[in-house]
Amino acid sequence: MTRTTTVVLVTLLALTVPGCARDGGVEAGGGLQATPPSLAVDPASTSPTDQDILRIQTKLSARPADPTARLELAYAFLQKARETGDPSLYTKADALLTDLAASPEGKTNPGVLVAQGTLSLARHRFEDALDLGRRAVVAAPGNASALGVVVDASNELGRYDEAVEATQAMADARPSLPALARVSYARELRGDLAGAITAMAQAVGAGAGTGENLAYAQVQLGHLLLTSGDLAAAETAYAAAARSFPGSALPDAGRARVLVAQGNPSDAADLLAGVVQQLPIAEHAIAHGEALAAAGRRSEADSAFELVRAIAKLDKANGVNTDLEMALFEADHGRPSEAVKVARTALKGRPGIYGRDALAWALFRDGKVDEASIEARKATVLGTRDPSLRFHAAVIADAKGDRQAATEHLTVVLATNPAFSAHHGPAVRSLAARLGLAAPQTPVAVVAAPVVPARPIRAG
Amino acid sequence: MISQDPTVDNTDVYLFRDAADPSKVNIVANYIPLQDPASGPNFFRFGDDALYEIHVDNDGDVVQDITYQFRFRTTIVNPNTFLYNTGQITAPHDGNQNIRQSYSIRKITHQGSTLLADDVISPPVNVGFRSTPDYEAKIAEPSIHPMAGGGQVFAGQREEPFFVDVGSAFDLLGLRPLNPAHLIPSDAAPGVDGLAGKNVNSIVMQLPIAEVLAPGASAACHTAGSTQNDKSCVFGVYASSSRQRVRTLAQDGGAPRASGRWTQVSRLAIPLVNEVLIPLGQKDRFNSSHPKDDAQYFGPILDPEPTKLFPVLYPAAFAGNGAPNGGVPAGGFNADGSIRRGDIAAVLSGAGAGLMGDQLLPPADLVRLNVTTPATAPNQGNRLAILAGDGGGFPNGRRLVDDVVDIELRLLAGGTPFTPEYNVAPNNILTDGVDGNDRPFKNSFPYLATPNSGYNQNASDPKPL
Repeated sequence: MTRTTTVVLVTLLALTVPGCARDGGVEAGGGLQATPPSLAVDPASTSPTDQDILRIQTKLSARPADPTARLELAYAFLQKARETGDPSLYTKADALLTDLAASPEGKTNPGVLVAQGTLSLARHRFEDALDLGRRAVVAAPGNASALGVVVDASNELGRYDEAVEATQAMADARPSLPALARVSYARELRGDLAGAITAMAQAVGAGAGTGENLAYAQVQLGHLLLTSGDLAAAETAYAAAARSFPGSALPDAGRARVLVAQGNPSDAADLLAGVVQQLPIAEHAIAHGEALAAAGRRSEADSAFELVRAIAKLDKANGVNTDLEMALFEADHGRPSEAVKVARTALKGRPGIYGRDALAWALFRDGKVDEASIEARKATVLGTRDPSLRFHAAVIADAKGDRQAATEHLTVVLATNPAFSAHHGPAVRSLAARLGLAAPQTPVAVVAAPVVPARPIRAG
Repeated sequence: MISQDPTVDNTDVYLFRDAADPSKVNIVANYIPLQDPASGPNFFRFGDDALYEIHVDNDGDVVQDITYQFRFRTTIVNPNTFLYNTGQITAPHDGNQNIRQSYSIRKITHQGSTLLADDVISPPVNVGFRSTPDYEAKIAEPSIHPMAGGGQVFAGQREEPFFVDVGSAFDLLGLRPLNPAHLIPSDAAPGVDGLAGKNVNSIVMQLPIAEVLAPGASAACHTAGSTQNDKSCVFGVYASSSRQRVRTLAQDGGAPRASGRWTQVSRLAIPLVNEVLIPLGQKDRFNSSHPKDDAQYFGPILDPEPTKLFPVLYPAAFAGNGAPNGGVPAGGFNADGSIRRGDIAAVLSGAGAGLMGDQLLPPADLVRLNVTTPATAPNQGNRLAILAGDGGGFPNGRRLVDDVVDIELRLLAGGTPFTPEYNVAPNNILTDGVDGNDRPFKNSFPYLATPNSGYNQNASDPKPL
């Protein structure tokens, strides 16, 4: 199809944008900012993303107004943000893309639109993402990347039927890793774990050799296998991911989940310390704090939870919306009334089942069982076999006195991964006992996983 | 967003008569671009979930008459190790090779489908002097499979045969030898082969000419000693890859069954049409469509973007070349609907393969070979082929030595005998400065050179392959 290593959707943009710099960079054309934002990168770094950034920034230092290079840089920043969780990279990418979209050609360029859509998704601004994704599809019909933005945004907005249509269109256009991974997610949402595993395994099969995308899919496969109760297979998948993209924090985050499932929160916490250092996003910091708390390392847990709040502030300052994660965090570790406020805001931007779940849990923790019960029913409407979702629904149903619903939901938790959370482990046990269900057995460690924290990607 | 699907990426198609055996023709379809040899522990292999196809059109209607289908299957001997091989590999698929791939070939014609071969060994990659010593003799050559009915086949890693200054060409159509004339000038410099040292996965088929031509082809196709203006002696090839259609959810709410229908995700024939002439917004559609429907792309193909860019990017050089229209031929259509770039259409119709007049074929993105043109030895032939009076190469088939980049640059700029008004400098001296492959080709099947080894990549102590 194409032999270039440059961004697929980026080429020859310069020649359709007027005012391409003629003298090596003094005059920026077409309304572009004179100096594009940049990132200090260690020149000796072996990371492919870092090398891309260096190469592009060198190009831009000679020709700052080169729109093709600027779009490439925006994509590189988005990729780097995936790897490091640094939200300031979103701000930089945003500046580049806003500039590019200011020209008539840039505004309808599919590469620009997909990048903007991807940025909006990363910042959890899903309405924006859906709009941009749709415009990208108009600009490049049948283009898989554009459809991918539509799929992701639709899912987060709770427009599940639209998401499935777009997923099918994406798979029809190009049944490759990105499409197959989304097929997996569609099945997972509807409770078909076996089908989700099949599709994610197909996605992994479709990704050649090495790379961050492949590693990401392998980690997702690991999560699905863990949720289905197969710890050994999950370990294998995480190990494969670590080989596909060495230095990534995600396989270790997966291994930490396995350790929690094995009743070893202390080792999980040590692993997560490295994960958080490399990828300081709320999800991992929360898991870190909860593992520490479950291991009885209270003061360390408190520090970890403080870090969660610091991350949330930093995200907010860079336009990243973390309301959903923070709503659950506040419900479990902070002030429930505050959690409800945050959850209501989260739901507005993310009206899917996970938004409903966060609000349900926050309401329950704030003592509003009846409202919580209504939201929990909406959260489980697709039949998702997600232990966290089902645990919340089980507890709420139990509090409402609906023993049948509570049993149904908790049975799913016990059948999937009852040790899905270091924090809720004891509550799962006690609810199982109250409902007369068999206590979850702590799985014996089938694979003696050495606890080696991920080495961050560093020069030399 | 690097190409996210290298496993099914077509990179090149080559088509040339066999120099050793005049009754045979060689078809090469390459996939999985830009392989760095040192890519352990996973390395590269064909996709088990993909269908790789080589299509032959021999009756001139741009619809395939013969399709060769390749399906691959990987076996992992010991899944508890991550190693590709657990010791030295002295023969393909020996006890030390842990990740093994084999393949089947199915031939489809209007009469039906035949399994030509099954469980054929695809060799391991060239890991290094410890794992895969003496690669060509011990690993590659034993993987050549003879076919019933004549011919042979090979499917596995080879040295990347294409040569082009990728870095400069996609940097605003930079051509290093012409650096001083560029809009953003610089000192002239030799071209840099961006593909030097890389590997690729190749399917190489050697087939009897009698098998690929239509049953009604002239007897002269097999006996003539020079190029005949006879379309029955010309056949066209394109290569593609497909994946099975996936149903996201089942209709009845249960688990979706594995569906069978194949979706084409990549196709390629004439070099650079897909990469350079098809605009971004249409690329995915192009990849899933077929040559018979290519009229929808003739807009961009017959009004090529690079042609319009030459005077913009090399203003002084083209403005002052004495040719009309700003220095390059105009593309698109005249008021009466006729095409302006009749020269490009003629090449797409087989004019470069010895056809003319009523023997010209419908224009299509197919690599077309006239089997009456005498063969060239693998490292012989003029790299500029038709532009240097050597009718034995591109666009008459495509040999490994043909410098398709320079040929196409000049063709697009009108710097060829087809467009005499524009056959002036710089149009007819355009070059990326990379004139040949970094390694010589083999004189025997499968002709593409031994793959570069992982150990040797960037090494100060390279070992013999």
